[in-house]
Order: sequence, then C-alpha cells, then structure tokens
Amino acid sequence: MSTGPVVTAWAAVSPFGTAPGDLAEGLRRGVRPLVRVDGDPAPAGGPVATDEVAPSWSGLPVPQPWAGLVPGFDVRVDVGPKGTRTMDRLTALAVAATGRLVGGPAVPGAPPRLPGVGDDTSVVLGTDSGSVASMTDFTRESLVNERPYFVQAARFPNVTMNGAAAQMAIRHTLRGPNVTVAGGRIAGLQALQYARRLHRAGRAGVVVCGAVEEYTPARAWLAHHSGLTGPLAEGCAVLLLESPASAREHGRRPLASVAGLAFGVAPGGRDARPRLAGLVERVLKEAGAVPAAVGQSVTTGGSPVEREAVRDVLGDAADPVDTTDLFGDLGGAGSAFGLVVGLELAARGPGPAGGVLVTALDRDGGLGCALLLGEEEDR
Amino acid sequence: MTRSDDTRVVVTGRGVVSSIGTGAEAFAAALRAGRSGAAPLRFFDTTGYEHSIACEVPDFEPGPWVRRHDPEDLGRATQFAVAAARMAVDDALGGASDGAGAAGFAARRALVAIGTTDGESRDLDLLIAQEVAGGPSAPDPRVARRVPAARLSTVVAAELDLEDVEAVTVPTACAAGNYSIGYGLDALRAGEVDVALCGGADVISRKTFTGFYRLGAMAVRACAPFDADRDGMLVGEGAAVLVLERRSTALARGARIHAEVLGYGLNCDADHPVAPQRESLGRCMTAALRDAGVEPGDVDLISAHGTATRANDLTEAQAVRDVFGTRRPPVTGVKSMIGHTLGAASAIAAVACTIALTHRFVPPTLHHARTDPDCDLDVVANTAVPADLRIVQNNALAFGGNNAVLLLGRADR
Repeated sequence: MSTGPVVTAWAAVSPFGTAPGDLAEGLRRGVRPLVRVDGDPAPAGGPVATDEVAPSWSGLPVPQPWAGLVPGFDVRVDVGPKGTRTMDRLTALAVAATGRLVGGPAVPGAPPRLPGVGDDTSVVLGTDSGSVASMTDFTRESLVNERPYFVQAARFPNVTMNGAAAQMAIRHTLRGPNVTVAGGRIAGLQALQYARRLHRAGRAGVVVCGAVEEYTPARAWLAHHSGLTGPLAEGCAVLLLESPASAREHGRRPLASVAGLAFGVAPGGRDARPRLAGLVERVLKEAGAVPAAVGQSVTTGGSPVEREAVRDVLGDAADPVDTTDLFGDLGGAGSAFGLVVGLELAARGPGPAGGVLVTALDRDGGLGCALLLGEEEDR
Repeated sequence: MTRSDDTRVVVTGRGVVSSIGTGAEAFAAALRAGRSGAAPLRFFDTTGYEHSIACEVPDFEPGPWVRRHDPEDLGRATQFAVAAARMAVDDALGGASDGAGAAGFAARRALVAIGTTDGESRDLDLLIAQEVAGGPSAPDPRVARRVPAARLSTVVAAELDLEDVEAVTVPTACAAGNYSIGYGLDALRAGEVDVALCGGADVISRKTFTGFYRLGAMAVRACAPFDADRDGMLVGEGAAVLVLERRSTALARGARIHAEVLGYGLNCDADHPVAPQRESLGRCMTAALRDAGVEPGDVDLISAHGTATRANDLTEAQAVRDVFGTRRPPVTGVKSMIGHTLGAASAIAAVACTIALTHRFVPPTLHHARTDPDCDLDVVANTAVPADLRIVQNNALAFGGNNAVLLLGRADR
C-alpha cells in the first residue's frame, strides 16, 4: 500500500500553449507542435528538412530550423514586468508554470492562491544542466569585452543551476526545502523521488515538483555538438504533491498516488532494455500492483528501447505514448511532461483513472521509472 | 527521539580531493598543520584582472582513479568525483575498491548523490572559447559530450560497478554537499537503500571566478573568515565523498565507523537571489538540531560556511548567536585553508568535521588577526587545537537562499 504523497494538481507551459486547457487540447488534436524558429509560427507537419541554410532565432544562428517553442512566450508578460529584466528563459518558464499551478498574488490575472500552499511549501525542480545560455553568455562576455570582468553582475545568479528553483520560491514565497536535481532525461523522475522522500521524512508537506527546459541557440548548439539531431522542445511541467489529509482539508481530490519509483544505470546504453524492464517489474512489485493496473504508459526518449522494455513487462497490448514524439526533445523537462501527459490521458475514458507508468532513459546512463496509481488501484 | 541501530546512519568511508591534500590522511595532516591552498591562479590567463589568487588542486592525475572510462571523455569535476568516491569506497572496504569485498558492496542497493555548483563549466567555457575563435561549428564534440551535469553521479556509479543504483546530481550550489549527505541520510533511514555515496565536486572556471570578482566578493590575497578586516572569498576546487550506511549494517560487517550523521535541516529564504537572511538561516539551524535530537548546548564546534565576505560572515554569526545564545560553541572556517570549493565545500567540510571527531582536534581558521566585534564569535584561530569533540555542526548557505545544516557525532558517543 502506498503511503503517498498524492498528486492533486498539475500545470504546464508547453509548445501547445500556456493556458490551462492547452495541453489537453493539443494532445487531442494530435499534431506535433513544431515551428520554424525563424519564420512564420505555423505548425509543421511531416518530416523536418535538415538542409536548410543558416536558420536563426532572434538573429542568432541555430543548427536546425525546427523546434517546439512555447508559443508567444514573453517573460515580461507571462511572468510580469517587475524584476524580470535579467530573468533567463528557463527561469521564466519555471516561474510561469508555478504561477499557473499555485495561483496567487504574484501572477497577474491568476486565480487566488491555492489553500494550503504557503510559506512552508517546498520546491523540487529537475533540469538537464540549467540555463546553458546564461552560462555561455556570461563566459563569452568575459572573453570578448575590453576587460575580462565586464560581465553583468545581475545575471550571475542565472548561471547557477539552482537559480530557477530559487526564483520559483522568491516570486511565489515558497520557503520550504528548495531543491534542484540535474539528471538530463530522467530529471523529472528524480525530482519526484526527491519530493517523495522529503515528504515521507516529514520535511515537506506540500511540494511543487517538476522539471523545465528552455529553447535557446546555446542549448541548440550544445545539443548539436554532442550529437543530438532531432528537433528540440521547451517547457515546464509542475505537479502539486501533498498528503491525503492535506488534500481532504483543502478540498482537493487526488488525481493519483505516487506509488513508487525505481532507478538504475546502463553505462553506454548497455543492457538498457532488460535493466529498464527490471525497474518496471520492481516498481509494480513494490507497489503490490499487477501490469493490468497500468492504464497509460508513457516513454520519454523517443527510442524503441524504452517502448520495448515497457511492453516486455506490460504485454503487447501496452501502447506507450512518447513525449519526444509528441513535442520534440524536451531535454531535462521530458519526464515531468511524461507524468502530466500520463495523468491527462489516464483521466480520459469512462471508468476510474487507471495507473500511469512513466519511463526515462538518459544518454549518460541514468534509467528511471515512476508509477502513479488511481484510488481504485491503490489499496 | 532515540533511534535504533537500524535507523542510525554512520560514515564508514571518506575520500577528498583538495588544494591542500588528496586522501583523508593527507587532508587531515594539512588541516592539523593549518596549511593554505591559496596561490596565483594558473589555469587561465588572468591578464586584466587586478588580482587572481585561488585555491587550485595542483597536479591532479585522473589515471589512478578512472578505470572504466578514457579520462579524456570525463570533465575535470567528474574526474574529481570519481577519485573522491573511489577513495571513500576503498576506505569503507578497508582495502581496494576492486578487491574481494567489492562485489558484495556493489551488489547492494545504493544511492550516489553528488552535489555541485558549476558541473563541467570549465568544459562549457572551453566550448565558448572555441566558438569565439572559430565560429559556431568550431566547438569540439568530445568536449560537448562531457558537459551534462548528470555525469558527475552516473559516471561514479559506472566506475564503481554499482548495478542496483540510483545516481543523482544535486546542483544546489554552495550548499550541495550537505544536501547530498542529507539525502543519503533520509534514504537510509527509510530503508530504501543500503549504502549511500554522498558528496560534492567542483572545478575552478573562468565563468565563476569572473562572477565573484565582478560582484566584488573576491579577496585580494587571503580568505579570512570572521576577521575584522576580511575582504572576501577565494575560489577553490575539489571534491569529497562519504560512504554512509545504517549503523546496524556497519556493525554487522565489522566496518570502521568514522562518525555518525545525526541529522540535518533544509530551508529556503525565498527572499534574495544571493544575499543570505539571518532569521531563515537560524530556522534552518534549529530544524537541523531538532532532526538530530540535539540541544544547542550539546554542540561542541560549528564548522561555519564562513566564506569571509562581509555579508555572509555577519549574517551567519548573527544567526548562530540567535540560536545558541550566550553559551555558543567555538567556530572555525575551513574555507580559510581551501577557499570556497562551491558544491564540494560542505562535503569537504563534512569530511573535515569527521576528521576533527576521529583525530580529536579543531582545524584552525587561518589569517585571523582580530575577530570582527560585530560577529562576536569564539573563533579557533590560526593554529589547530586539540579537542575531544562529541557533536559538530556543519553550516552551508547557497545562492538562492538554499540553506542546509548538518549535525555529525563522534562514533562512540
């Protein structure tokens, strides 16, 4: 039997949009939301061309023309004009998503603050390696300017990987434990694990937990040079975690219980399929659940390895959706999007929501899976 | 709350890479001698900066430590993490991490948690230098593949042949070491893992040196925590890893126990992106003491965050006075010897705390001429002092108001 925490809400700013219903609507329409980064923001269908000459984004060259961008995202509008002059895109996406989750006075035009979310609410955020753009801009200025220390002091907090989580806390007054985990594709699941452990240890009551990734030329070039060829995507997905008692007290119905997570490594990708399958088996066993309890499985890496590992355990009837197929390569945000996509899809259909299984496989060897169970399955 | 051996967590191995010594015994000797790692910065051309003293790790060779990868495929921070982790596991096994005991060790369910501030920023700096010189296609793919921060933990797991392992990198800046140790503590107390390798690693980069310099936070010559004339921090680099196990497991296998991890506290100022906040830090210390089941009067020594900036030391001293009152314990700042090693800092300091407990001395705070009267602390100055310590507190404050305070106890309390 799982002893929580439970997920009672989620929010996302994604290539499908920033409004509450946009993700659901985008999933329903089923068209991958890629756009030309330098051109008319019309959605792209069909295969992407890779022989484009010198595509650019805001005047800066990028290696390929297609990406999944959060449409019309403007930090000064989506986060607000106050104190955002030097806020980087990664931080802005995280702060904007948090505002849509918790509501409250910091967000222009938002509903009121969710009851029970307050001073001692904790933040756990997953990332790949933070805002690469902020870090490389800083170094570039040092190298090219007249003096090596002619850099913008106000941007220094952006170059640390915990800057976004810190701003989530500052902008929304969340003073509980504040954590960042850097895990590439498995970061969202690592964030969920960290949040679950803080909660179970009694260190955090309510937790805002998710992961974020930005699209910038710096990230695009780093991905390109490290051999990633597919279109990139950006966004932030965050979940609200709390105890069942807290959910009842504040009138929130649990969407699912965090039934368990399991992690491993596959150095160099060796034996990734059986190792990941082993993690899926373990997470079901430790939750006392059978494969049929999983109503919706979600993979996040766009690779057949994850898909086959899931089907090795859940059976051939399992037909996982993949967040890279849905959005493009979401980098550090992928497995957090896996969780919210799973919850959204599992909630459709006539009966009670089935369980959600999310897997992730990172190029640097990390493997992870998470099991969320609806109230019927979680005994 | 009295804990059983099944929920008490102990340190059975420690490894450290630092500017004053690599390996726990070399580091202990350097702490006792009050050695400083400060020297003119050699790693990059410092033309244009008016001063550039830093605490670099001299002559680090990855070869002895990196066995499953080509070292050229690993960034320097990852190399440091592997070295510290291998030393710690060697220590925990009382022998070689590739020896007979290693297979059993590697088969246990493990957590690897490595903290950092900058990850492989030195490699990111290199890519930008290549781009500035040769355009956007010039960066080297082999360097680009070294950059992801996840590698600090996943490569450690691969190097130590750990199979059933959760490997996570915790980039909570200058508090990351305490975060990682605390994460291991919670996972072990809950029985979710059997062994945890916890610590931090960071490397000096142009990016971070420049940032602190630009903020006016960098000392001209020396790092002098709590001194009346202190003028800032020095950047440093290094790594430390501690092996943590439940006390019951350690006793059952006859392991040598260096210290006990009593508890920790975490919170967030949610106030300012860089400046620390007195009341919030005080609350964090109080939470740590409560988690450890320790009264303020039981703490024999505080290993301070002590960066030697005017703001940090004053805020930290005020928070200590708020929590401990008039009978506050003596304080020391290891950064006076090794500089600010960022994400490694509180992990290296935690190793220093275990050394203080096992070797029975307090590492000194160097460059201390006159205690700042506004800090009003009892600083252990310049020379190591013999002491029978029972409980030591290790403070860490990070950018973003990420505070983490750790309590360590002598093994045979």
